[in-house]
Amino acid sequence: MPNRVQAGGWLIDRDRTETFTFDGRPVPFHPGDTLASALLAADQKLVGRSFKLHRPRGVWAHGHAEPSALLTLGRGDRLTPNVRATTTLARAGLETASQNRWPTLKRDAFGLLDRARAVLPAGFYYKTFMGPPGWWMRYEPFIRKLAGLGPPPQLPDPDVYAHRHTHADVLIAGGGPAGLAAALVAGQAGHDVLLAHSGPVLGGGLHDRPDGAHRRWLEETLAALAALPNVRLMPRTMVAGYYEHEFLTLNERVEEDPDAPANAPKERFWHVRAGRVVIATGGQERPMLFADNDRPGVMLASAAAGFLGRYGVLVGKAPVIFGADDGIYATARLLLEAGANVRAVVDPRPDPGAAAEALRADGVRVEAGAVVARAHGRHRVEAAEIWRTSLPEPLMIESLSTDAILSSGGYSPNLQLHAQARGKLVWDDDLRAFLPGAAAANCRSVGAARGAFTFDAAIADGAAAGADLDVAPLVTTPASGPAPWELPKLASGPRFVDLQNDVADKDIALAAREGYRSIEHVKRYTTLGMGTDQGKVAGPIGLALLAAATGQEIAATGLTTFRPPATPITFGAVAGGHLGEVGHAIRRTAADSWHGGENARFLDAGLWRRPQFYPANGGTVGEAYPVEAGAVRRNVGLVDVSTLGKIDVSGPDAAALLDRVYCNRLSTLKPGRGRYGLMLREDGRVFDDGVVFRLAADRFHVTCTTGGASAVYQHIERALQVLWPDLNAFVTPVTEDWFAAAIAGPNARKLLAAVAPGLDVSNDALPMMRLAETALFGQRVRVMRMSYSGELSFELNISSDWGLALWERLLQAGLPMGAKVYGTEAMGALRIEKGHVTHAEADGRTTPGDLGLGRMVSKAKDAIGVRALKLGDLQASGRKQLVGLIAEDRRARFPTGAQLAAEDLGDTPRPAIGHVTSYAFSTELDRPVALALLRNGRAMHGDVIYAVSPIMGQSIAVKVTDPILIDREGERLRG
Amino acid sequence: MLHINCPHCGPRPETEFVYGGDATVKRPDPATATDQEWADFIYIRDNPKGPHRELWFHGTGCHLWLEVARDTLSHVIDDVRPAKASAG
Repeated sequence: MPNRVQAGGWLIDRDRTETFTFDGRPVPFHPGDTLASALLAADQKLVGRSFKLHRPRGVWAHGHAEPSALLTLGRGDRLTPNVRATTTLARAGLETASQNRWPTLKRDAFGLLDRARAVLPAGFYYKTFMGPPGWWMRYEPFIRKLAGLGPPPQLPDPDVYAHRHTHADVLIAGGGPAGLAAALVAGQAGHDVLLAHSGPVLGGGLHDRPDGAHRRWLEETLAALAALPNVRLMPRTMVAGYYEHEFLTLNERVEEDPDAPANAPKERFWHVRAGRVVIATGGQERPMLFADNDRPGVMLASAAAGFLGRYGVLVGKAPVIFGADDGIYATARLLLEAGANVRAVVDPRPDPGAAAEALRADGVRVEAGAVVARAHGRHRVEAAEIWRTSLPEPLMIESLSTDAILSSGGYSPNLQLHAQARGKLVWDDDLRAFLPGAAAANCRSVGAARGAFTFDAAIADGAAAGADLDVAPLVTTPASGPAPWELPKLASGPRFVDLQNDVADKDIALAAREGYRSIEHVKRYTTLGMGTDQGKVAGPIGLALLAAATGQEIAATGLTTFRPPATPITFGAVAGGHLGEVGHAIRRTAADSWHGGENARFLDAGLWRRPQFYPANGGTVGEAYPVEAGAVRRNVGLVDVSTLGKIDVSGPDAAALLDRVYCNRLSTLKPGRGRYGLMLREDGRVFDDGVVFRLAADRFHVTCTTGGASAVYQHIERALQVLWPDLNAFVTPVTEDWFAAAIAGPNARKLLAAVAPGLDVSNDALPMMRLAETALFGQRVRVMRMSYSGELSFELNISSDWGLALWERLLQAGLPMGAKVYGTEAMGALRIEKGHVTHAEADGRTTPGDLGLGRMVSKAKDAIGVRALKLGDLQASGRKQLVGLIAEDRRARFPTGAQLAAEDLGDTPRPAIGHVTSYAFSTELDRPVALALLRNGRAMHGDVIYAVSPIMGQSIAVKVTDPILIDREGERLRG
Repeated sequence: MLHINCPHCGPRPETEFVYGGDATVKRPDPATATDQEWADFIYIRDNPKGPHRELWFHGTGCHLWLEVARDTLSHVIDDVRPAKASAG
């Protein structure tokens, strides 16, 4: 480990050495190292290639902001791409690989792209790959191959991820000095405190000092916190999202916990409801801008201090340090004391003051009134080009050989959580940074997260927040040197603002010249800040450059929106255990075990799984459903209809309530009888339908569609509780209480008589829309004569506990008669033949009149949606009306998603005059048939038109008819 | 995620509720309302920035329709009551 020194290294265990692999080669590390610190210790400067230009890149930062050192971890089903080397702990045996290079990192074939940089400006793809029409599809795969990060995993992830829910009085985001101080004070006051810290070890920047300053405070504070049972400390846990009413999400990387049990999940995703939130997420250093500022070895000055203090790694033996505030002199001194030969400290300020003089006195070269204008070298930095800027004309003075250029352009607070919680951002001219302004939630930012960048200020700020004291005013010192975006461009070469997406200052200038003013637009046009680092470093600088280029104030230009997660997290963590059947709740009817046992093919209807068809009746759905539907038309069929919604409405005003939620009248229904009811939305469109039976004077059994059940229930409750609270009624959803089966077909009565011997099933005793009760297995059975198929039909309801027993009794009696079970596909074909609508026709746009149900609407009473039907547009001619369609050719097939046209497909587009809503093969007519919505369709019965799909190039000729295709008089269902 | 203090069930997360729109819109008398008034009732809604009264249905709780006073800017909820009580 050539770059490991004796100084610092507070987070590593120097007594142990293990190895992981990088591009197949072993890399030694000490436990506690990150992948980045181990690579730097091994002098591996080049770690990846950039997104667009394939430029060589190295480790650049030392935390979440890292734009360049992204690696692919693992392989096969445990492959994870785009992992930040700077925040991922090294583990023995881990396989890591560099990204976006081919065939090797050092000899990348696409590195030539960098030479073409001049012709790859902002918006290049938008401008270049515009035509001919449709050709984007051909360009895209190639562009995707060139530009990109790591490969996505191709196999299901075998690891386990967990979700947890918890509460806290005080949630503290960040375990640096401010966060720890807040936790101690709040914890000692007896609050239930949860502190989440993204790094593996609490302390944050307190570990960055190789000389160990502040470590005593840290050790004492951690000891005091450990004694408080009401304080939960969670290292390895990043606060990802901040939502309304102090609801936050946390991502815990359990796999990095050496003490985690073997069966622990890989990650935990926490849902936390907090009383109040303390945001102590620290600050982010900004880089200085100079040409070729992306060469491996160019780094943030804070990163150099961090790698030294935390891991004992000297990122450069002969560094050049470049910045415009006194912090760089402190960094220089730390590196010097650790054994570095500091080549020069370069400061644009002509007179940097005492700190500079003190360093000079110790023999370190300080170039005041000067800048680093360019980095030399390709796979690693070799020299820094230094220019004197204090002269009337800038002058290059030296190309100074070096192995690291460490720059600092001041700090910006990390604003993600404050901004996610919709807090205001305020531009501060002294710090030249956006600071958190007024919070919009019960939170406050403390320490570096609000611009208090010193240790003592951060601790005081955190302690005040822990005690929930008033916020002390922030004392800041005005910056005395130029900000990064104010540096002149002196040497040729790109000055990268966003390293991850290869966005340079000239790209932002170009966007401004082309008329972009909004930072949100410039972001999307140039891809500034659109990488996995979310522009944590690039954002503030890019915005300042845009402000300068457009002549706007920085404060007025504003930042782009901050969205969760604050730092990227895995899909695995978000999904947690909600995978496969666990992620998709399945509702099963009481006879589901039989359907499954008989190998029904199921189709989802909302959360329900319903048999679509039974392969015993034919191998494919297309073969089975005509057999099933044919049995209903000619003999008898059985179907499980338990999923249809059932609602019990009772009370003295039950009838009055139903009269107001159905457009037709139900209050005139006599007990024991049923009626088809149509429910409208207040805007006059058909909402749902179903049969309503009156059980008693004050009690109704309402049925509705499977998909509409919960919305219909909610709708009736709303009518009762919000619109007409004076009505005295009770509404109870009872769908799950009842198992329901329908028996339909000419022999349905015979089958009913066989299973219910005590019941008078004659047409006189049990005519259409009549309710009877009988008993089976000692249970009450409701028998309702109603029909969806258009055949003689009865629906039997029994307590769900006895549903399977009833189903089996029906089969036992029915199968010897030749009865067949049928599924939703046959049910659909049967109802299409009868012109019954479903939500395919009642699609939220159609009125009762459109569907041919206009006569159902009672004019003698008010009901939801009735008044709206008088509005002009709903009365206008030219509306689409429900019609039936019969294919001219019996072998034709309706195209999927067909539109209707008066003429056949041709070379020129034709206007659509309607669309097909549902289609099936009619066994009765021996033809494909459909229901459709056709403009002025009722006047077109008998016309031949075309059902077309221009996309598929398919078309069939169809005859327009009445929607009721068979038994128009309804003789079968009354028989 | 909002935290709504249901008067029947206590504080519950937003996922238990269904949003039901503006509570201040009242249904006009259909016998006397003009077409314009009726169309406004159906289609026209304010989108206030600040205090707002709105309906929420406690679907996985007590099934009460609630009237919630929520500030659309700060999300502060300072009143929750059954819509039935409010309507009377």
